[in-house]
Amino acid sequence: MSGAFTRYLAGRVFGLLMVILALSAVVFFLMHQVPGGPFTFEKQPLPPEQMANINRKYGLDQPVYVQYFKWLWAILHFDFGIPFQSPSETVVSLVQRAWPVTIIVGVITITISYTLGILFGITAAVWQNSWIDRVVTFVATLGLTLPSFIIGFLLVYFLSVKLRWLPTGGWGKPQQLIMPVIAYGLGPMAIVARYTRASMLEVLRSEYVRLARARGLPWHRVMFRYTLRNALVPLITVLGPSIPDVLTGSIFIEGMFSIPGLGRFFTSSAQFRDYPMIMAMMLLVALLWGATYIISDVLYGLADPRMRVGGEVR
Amino acid sequence: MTSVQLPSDALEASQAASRIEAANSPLRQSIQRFFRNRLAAIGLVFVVVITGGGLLAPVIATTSYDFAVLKDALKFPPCADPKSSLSFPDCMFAKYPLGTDAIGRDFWSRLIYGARTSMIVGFSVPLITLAIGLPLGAAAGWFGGRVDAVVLRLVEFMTAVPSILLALFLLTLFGHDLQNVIMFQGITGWVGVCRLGRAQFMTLRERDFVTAARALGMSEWSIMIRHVMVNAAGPIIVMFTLGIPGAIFGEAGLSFLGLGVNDPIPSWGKMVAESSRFAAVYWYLAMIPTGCIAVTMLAFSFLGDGLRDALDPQGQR
Repeated sequence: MSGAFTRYLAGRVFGLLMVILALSAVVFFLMHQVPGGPFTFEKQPLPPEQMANINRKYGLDQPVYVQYFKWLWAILHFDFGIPFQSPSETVVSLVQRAWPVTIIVGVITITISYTLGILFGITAAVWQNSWIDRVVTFVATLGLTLPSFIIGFLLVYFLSVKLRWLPTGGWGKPQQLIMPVIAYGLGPMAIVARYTRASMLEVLRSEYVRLARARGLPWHRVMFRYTLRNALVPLITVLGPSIPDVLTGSIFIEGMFSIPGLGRFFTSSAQFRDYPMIMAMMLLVALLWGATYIISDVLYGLADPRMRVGGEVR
Repeated sequence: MTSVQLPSDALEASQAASRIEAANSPLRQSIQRFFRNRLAAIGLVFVVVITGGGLLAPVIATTSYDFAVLKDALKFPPCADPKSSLSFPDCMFAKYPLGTDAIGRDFWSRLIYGARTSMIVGFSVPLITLAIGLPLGAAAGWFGGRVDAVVLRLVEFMTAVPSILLALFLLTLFGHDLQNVIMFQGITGWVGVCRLGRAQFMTLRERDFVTAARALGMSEWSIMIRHVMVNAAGPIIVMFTLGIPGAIFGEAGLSFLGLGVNDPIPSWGKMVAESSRFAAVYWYLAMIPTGCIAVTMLAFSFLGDGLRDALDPQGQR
């Protein structure tokens, strides 16, 4: 069992690394192929000699494949280069500065929205077709369909502009976190609530729960020992993939509430043609997504013995 | 006597039942199921209204969307303006029914043409994802083996980076306009359709009617198109319908960031972003497009959910 598991895990990790390698090559060649570049006459009107100097400094005068392999070699030594948009620091220090902000917002959002989502989902399922169920379903539909920037705008308009309760944006004070977390968390909360409800209903209708009730077991025991444990397991595959999404930050939310996180670098890096930063962001996102898929598959295998096969889990 | 009559009654009843069943073809049952779902029916009504508005934009709009009169900038809607001399029914037909935007363009016309932009994006993006994803998924599911492995690697490759980020990246690199917004959203968004197509073709391949068709000497292509495609149509239609709000959301979001549709073409997402600066006084300039996006997304989602329940009653949520 454990040997098969190690082999399975090693295979998955190897597959992920291969995908990332292929992806990095595609992105690298694509971004170099597009006309224009990080240092052009339109951005900085410099004499051609100086332009050539800058290009030589960053190695941009070499053929693209040489640049790619040099980049790959540097990456293996954890050298991610210097961001063109902020040449006074390294990519690593920039990410170290911006990512924690995004992670703080993300972790708070995930914690609150998942907890509430699961609670709402359970409530809606236990009292199915009651007014609570209808309210939860309605809010879940809104959260699923309304874009986060729309929710964000509505929050800013009512809570900041009209009622003047909260600051419109910024970073550093706890009250500045309230609106971003609501705008960001409503979507994940809706998804979690909806899946929890569906999953709970399925388990509540199952024969072993009916049997447990028929045997006269106390309600709380049926709920916690029989229903919740089985109903929450399938959620792992739903919750897993949404985590990297939250951890890499939302461009909309961070832009709207002027949060100095990682999100805005997704656009600014592409706009500046900031090659080292683009590649670093790509690696970060791809690693996070890949790792989350693997972890959620493994966790699912641990939680549900039926899925415990050495080979294809998905 | 009674013992003879009873079975004949039962026979009649069963005949009547089968007559009712014959009248209720699966399609008709689906339609009935669809309209029994009130939200889905309301969604359909809104979808028809919004699509109609987009199609008839040149007729409904009072002026062109790009016609700007600078001296009329930021005019209130006449019906809500206390200084306006027009009384209720007349103010609806004033020069600027909903006032003007920051550079003096008729807000009503821009809103209507914004619906057109949303609809163009909303219908073409899922079409592109269908055109890319369905053949790939169908081939993977039908032929299996090496074809399946190649497609699966491709899917894995695409899921490594979220599609909206990839679209964003491509748009900033290659420049953004309506065409590119549609193209890149399509190119990056086909994974879902591909997975669905693969699953459908894989399960349908093993069904008895396919074996029967093959035994009768039908060619593989005819089986795929005449039998499998038709049976896979339901979930694919649902996927298409639910892809529409996704595409509209993508366009609105990209335009909101300034990476979508270029001026002067109006887009609701862009209108929200541009107008949020004036939200303290001219709140409706941002609130109305916000409402439009919300209503459109909800309408298409309800329609899609309703279609799913109607076409696939056994399906799970």
